[in-house]
Amino acid sequence: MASGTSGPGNLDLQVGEALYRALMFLLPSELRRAFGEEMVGFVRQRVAEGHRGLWERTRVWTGTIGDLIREALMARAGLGASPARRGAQKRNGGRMMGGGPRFEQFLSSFQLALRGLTKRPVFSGAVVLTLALGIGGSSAIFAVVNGVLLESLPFPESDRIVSVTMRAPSIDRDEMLLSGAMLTLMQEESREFESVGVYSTFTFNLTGSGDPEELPFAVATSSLFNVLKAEPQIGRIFSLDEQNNRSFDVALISDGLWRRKFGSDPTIIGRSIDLGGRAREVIGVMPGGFSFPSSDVQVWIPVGMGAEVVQQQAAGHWLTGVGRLTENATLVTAESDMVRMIEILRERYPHVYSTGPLAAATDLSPRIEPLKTRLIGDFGHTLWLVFGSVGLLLAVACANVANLFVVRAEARETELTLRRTLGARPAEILRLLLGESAVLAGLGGVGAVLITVWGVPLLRTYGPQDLYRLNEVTVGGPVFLWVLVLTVLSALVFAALPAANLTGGGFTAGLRGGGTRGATAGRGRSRFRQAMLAGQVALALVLLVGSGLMLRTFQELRGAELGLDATGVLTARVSMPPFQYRSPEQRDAFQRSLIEELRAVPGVTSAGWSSQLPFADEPVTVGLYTENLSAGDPRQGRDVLLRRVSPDYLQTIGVDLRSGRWILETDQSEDRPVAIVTAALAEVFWPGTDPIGRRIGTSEEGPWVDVVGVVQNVLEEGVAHGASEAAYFAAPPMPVTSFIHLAIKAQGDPVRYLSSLQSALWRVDADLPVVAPKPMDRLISEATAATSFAMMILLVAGLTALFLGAIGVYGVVSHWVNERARELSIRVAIGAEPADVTRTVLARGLGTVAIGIGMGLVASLALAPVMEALLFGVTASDPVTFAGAGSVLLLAAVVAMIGPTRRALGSDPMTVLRTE
Amino acid sequence: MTHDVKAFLPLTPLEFRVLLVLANGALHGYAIAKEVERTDPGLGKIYPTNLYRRLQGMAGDGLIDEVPGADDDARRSRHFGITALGERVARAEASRLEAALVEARRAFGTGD
Repeated sequence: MASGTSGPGNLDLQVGEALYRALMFLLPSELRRAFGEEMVGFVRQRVAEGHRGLWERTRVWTGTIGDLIREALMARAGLGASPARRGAQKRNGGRMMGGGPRFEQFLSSFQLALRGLTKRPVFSGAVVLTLALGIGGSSAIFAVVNGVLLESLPFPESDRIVSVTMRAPSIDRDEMLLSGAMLTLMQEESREFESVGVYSTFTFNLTGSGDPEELPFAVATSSLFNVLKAEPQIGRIFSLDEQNNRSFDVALISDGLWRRKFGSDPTIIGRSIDLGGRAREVIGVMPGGFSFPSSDVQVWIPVGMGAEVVQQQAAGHWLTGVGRLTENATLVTAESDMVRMIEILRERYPHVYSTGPLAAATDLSPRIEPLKTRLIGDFGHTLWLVFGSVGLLLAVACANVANLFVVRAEARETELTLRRTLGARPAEILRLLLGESAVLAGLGGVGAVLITVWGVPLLRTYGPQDLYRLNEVTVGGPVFLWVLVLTVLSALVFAALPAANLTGGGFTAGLRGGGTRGATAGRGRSRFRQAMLAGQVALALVLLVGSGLMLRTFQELRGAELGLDATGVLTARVSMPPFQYRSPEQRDAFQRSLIEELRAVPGVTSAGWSSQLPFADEPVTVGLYTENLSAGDPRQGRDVLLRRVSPDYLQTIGVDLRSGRWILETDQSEDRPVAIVTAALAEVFWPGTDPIGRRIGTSEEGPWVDVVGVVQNVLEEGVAHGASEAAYFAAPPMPVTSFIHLAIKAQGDPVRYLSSLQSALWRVDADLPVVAPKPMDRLISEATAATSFAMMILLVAGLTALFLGAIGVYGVVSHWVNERARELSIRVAIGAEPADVTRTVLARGLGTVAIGIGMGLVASLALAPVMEALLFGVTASDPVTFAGAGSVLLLAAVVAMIGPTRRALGSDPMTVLRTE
Repeated sequence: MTHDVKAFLPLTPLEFRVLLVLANGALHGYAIAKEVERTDPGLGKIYPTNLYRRLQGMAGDGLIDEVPGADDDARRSRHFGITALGERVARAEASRLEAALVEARRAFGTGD
């Protein structure tokens, strides 16, 4: 949670007060306006006053909120307003203003229900808790699903906005971005797009206003803002002139940046700010809710691409396209429109697509998807899966509650039958039952709201941070509606169950048989209970299997041989402003003195840098060539991972050398450039021979670089990708980019070295910030964030389902034992072996459980394809996991049966017969 | 405007208690609740919505009135005091209860 002052003791006060304030809208506005604040003050005082224990506080809250709801109902019915009014109502012959006799009846059955329920605290508590867990769990995840997946993007008619890129399967590119030429073409020729814009994101340093900081920014066309239909709150977007001509230094800034850095100063328009070492004039401030393409982008500058540049860079596919479809267009028509335009593109630029750098991309095709799909990425699948699993948990909870209700309906059969015989009309009995289930479901709903309000901030904090819009997830109208619908549905269903029980011949049977013995109706109900139990066990097993699979996946991910040692390694990014560090020599000098400074820090054992760290979002790959293979060899030009590294980098991140030597300080010149490759790369290009001394390059003609060492395989692209074919260059042709990623290995907790890192950097350049400093093991855990998120939710759902399942088994078996108490005790009395009785009881319960487990295994197998995409190192039908989940469930069932079995063995026949 | 005090009877136990408590001096809402809970534990916990709805109704009937609060009250809660009408109604309710008590004694014998 955001506020640092809120301890666990205050959380319920905040949540409770919020809930109380929200519910106050049920009250007549007059009362709310006159005394609303007084009432809240009252509640605060009451809670503050010595109610320390959890139980005490819970009682105060349920009492207070129950009171509010009751009074709201009565006030709406015009009941009990004031002594004089009551008198007047009585004189009018009992007719009430506002409400009616119906409502009074409803209230009385409500009160009756409350009285009945408080007398059975265990039953009521179990129902309320189960419902609260089931509904609350599902609504917390629903809040995320709604905020991230369902709610439309905050742009007008956002369902017409699509992301526009291309595919080129023949050169193994699942995605190829647009070129400026393609954009121009689409703007001229397209029939299905109303407007098309492009963007690309970068990062630069903001200096000159407070501490230097790094700002992610996007270059964009002005048409991008037309596509999104977004307008600045003050100022204007860039003109076509500004867009096409690099000499205009203008920028749009976000509302957040405007507030944070410039104190919402309206005179910012026209002022100049220093971005990446270059002064830019602020021409507009975007409105508060605007974030694109991600919430960290704070500045938008024109792409600076006139017709001339477009021609020159025809081969440069580096822009992500966004288009707004015309009113009648669909994804399909848009695709065929784009296929046509790709043809025109090929014809217009033969030197690129027929003979030039992209000649191999013979099957360029469109890749158009809804913008939301692109922004959410792979998380959509995970999120639906997680949502599905809490849905299953809800089903388990409902089956459990249904069983509780049926058991209780039987126990009350005599009471209800008696009421009926004494003249209560069926409608009245139904009202009583409805009153009861409404109270229980209502309290469960209140619990669910509390769980949601408390759970959503947790999900925001511990959910995958890359998830688009996760930070904006709130508990709002749709979520409350979700809770309300589930609550009302459960109230209706759970009232219907005992009512059906009564109409199904229960009335007379109830009186005749003393309510507990035999009768056909009893058999039907028992079958219903067993079916519910079997279903519940099956669902619980599905959840257990799911969480088991995620657990195994996580283990595999964690246990995988990464090929590096993250212990004590701190990483960070530094970017050198291109306008300040223009020449390669300047950048080279900068990084050398920075590494010198870092090595001098006490406790630091080694320091290095690389162009990219492992698990980077978009790893740089290039086609690699080797001198000894013929030009026609299919391996020539193979895409491999390419990194520029400093001499000590690989040792710093704990990579092991297999053969050859490390890169030395003296290797950093262009005269005799060297490289180190991974074992996986060596295996591809030089299988079975010694790679040392071979020469590699990034084009067929060289220049050639000597391979001087081979390192063990490193999982640079994340665990799921396996061993990377990677080459580490120490010098040109791979230049030092304006970004470098530092890695330092130090003794003890790497986080402690953060300030030394910053001051070392400031000794070299006082204007540069240390960006995204992270211990390397955090980097690794973030790479598995989606998996651990899914695992966490599935695990909680699975364990809750296990717990509920065990309660279900206990309830059903225990009830059966009570029902058979007479028979069982007589059997014990006439000398039946305890083992026989035990067997009878166990067979009864385990039979149902076994059926449930069987159904659950089948269902899990059927659901395997859904899981597959999230798994690693384990198949979705992994026998070990299935067996494990089944055993855990069986074990829980047996444990749940210990109590009832004991009772069956220990019951004294005389007591049982006497109570009958 | 004259009032027939009978029009206000019978009072609910809570209303009666509130009038009795306020007869000893003006109080704010939470203090009224504490006093009622102390003097008549049989009424159970007093909850805010119930209390304020009663207070609003009683104020509307003219049985109680809002009065300026004591200076030491940091929270600036609103204070209520009993009105002359309220006192008359409370007395009438008391004698009504007394009459009922006498009758009950006669019916069940002097049970005290």
